[in-house]
Amino acid sequence: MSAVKRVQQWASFARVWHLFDARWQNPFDSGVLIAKYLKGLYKPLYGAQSLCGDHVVVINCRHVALPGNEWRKRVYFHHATYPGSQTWTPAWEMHTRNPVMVMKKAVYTSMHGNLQRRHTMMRLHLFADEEIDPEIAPRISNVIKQIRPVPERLDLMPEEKVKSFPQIADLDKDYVIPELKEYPNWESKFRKMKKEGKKK
Amino acid sequence: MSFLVRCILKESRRIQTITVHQQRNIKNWLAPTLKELYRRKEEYEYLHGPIPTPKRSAFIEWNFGSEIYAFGKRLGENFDDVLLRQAFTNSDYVRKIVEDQEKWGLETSDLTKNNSNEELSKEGRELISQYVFGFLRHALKKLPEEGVKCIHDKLLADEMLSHISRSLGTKDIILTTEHEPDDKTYATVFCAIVGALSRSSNAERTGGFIRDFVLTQLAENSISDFYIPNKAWETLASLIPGVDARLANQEGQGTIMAAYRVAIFDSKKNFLGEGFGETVKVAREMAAVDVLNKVFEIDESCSPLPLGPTDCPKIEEIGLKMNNPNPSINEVVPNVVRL
Repeated sequence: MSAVKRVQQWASFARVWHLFDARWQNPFDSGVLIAKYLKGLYKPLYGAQSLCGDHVVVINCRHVALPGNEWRKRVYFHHATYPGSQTWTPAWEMHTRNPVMVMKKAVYTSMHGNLQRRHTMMRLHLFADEEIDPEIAPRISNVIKQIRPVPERLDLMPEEKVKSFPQIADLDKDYVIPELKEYPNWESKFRKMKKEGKKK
Repeated sequence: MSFLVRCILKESRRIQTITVHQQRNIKNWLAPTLKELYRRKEEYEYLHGPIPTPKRSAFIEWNFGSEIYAFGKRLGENFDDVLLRQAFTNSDYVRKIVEDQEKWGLETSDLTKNNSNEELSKEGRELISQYVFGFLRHALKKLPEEGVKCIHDKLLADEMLSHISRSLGTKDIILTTEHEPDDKTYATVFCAIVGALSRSSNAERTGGFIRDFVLTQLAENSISDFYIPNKAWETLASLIPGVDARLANQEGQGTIMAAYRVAIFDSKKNFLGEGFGETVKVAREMAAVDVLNKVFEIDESCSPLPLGPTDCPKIEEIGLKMNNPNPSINEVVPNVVRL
């Protein structure tokens, strides 16, 4: 191989370091996307045995957003091999113990028992917050676009922006804006509806 | 039933038809036989070393004269028989014959002593060298002399000529004392064949032969694989004043798989070329090589070499260029318009 071709080969198979911000993102959808970059599936020269996978650095794993009632209903099973050692840990408990585990398991599970997934997972770097390892930071050269757009929170918006927003109605100066009530537990309401339906 | 029919039926019952089926399958004795032969071979090789593959000429139905004749005709050339035989006779083979004859007390004629391919080989090598120089200077007008010489040296290297020689089928016909001829022997024989051809035939046919077997080796890979200028960045900086190299992309800084991409621009911010590398320095050097390839017109988008029957240069055109070297790398004026 001549020098020109050798150098071209080097560039073709260079490992890219991607960054993904998991804030407000569904970890299960993100896991599928991240796995695609970890395997190198977006590359035209992809091959399962080509070692063309990339590194992905995931930040803000602590601020991940599970859909619906997944925080309460999703359980992670673990067995320590001896009898009676099976545990079922709900997602909220797993997240308080280790804020990175939910994201990690989401990526792992997205590979559905593929024999290469243990090797593929080694290129995944997860961080709970914005702080990254100072050795990794200079290597990053691409940002993976988030799947779900991050909404702006009203309580975190600057005051001038909130006040300058056009009013829907002209209210009196004495008018008292009531505080927002907490939405009732939709699940119990749904059960009630079902019971009423059955009675009928 | 009539009496005649009954007789025929009785007779037909006595005739027994025997059907024989020939079965084509692997016999029971085949595997054990092969295993035994393999075991014996392994045992022998363990005690006495590996058994060398026998020479083709050692087998019974070897007709040297026919082989020589067929070799010449296979190449589509008219060789003088004596010269071709001489081309295949190595000097160590001649030496051995002379020694053996002296041992037996026989007289050795001058014909036998001078029958080696050394002289023919020298002639042939000179011819190949001249033609290759002429062709390269004619086909690659913008390539400086250093580049032409580099490509010429690679084409005339022993490995290259040996590869060509082997592909032509000289392996079984070469007369040497060594069991397997080495690269040098193959190269010598090839050069001697060219020498024999030049003496048997005219210059045009010899030139065509060299073009078709030596220069076609360039067609497989790009020409820039054969020549990479030394100190490319310094050369480029002196050729195009105001040239500027910038880091375009970088990947995995600090890792062993780090990759860098450098792009080169001229003083008017026109893109000239780019290169990759595992360090910034290597990337800049390869970028300079890329730009120089474009300047010398040996990059991947350059026109292919005139090796075909219609576009190949005539022997007169080659002759003109044989002794006229291309300008040196310091005298090259880069064609900025093409870039």
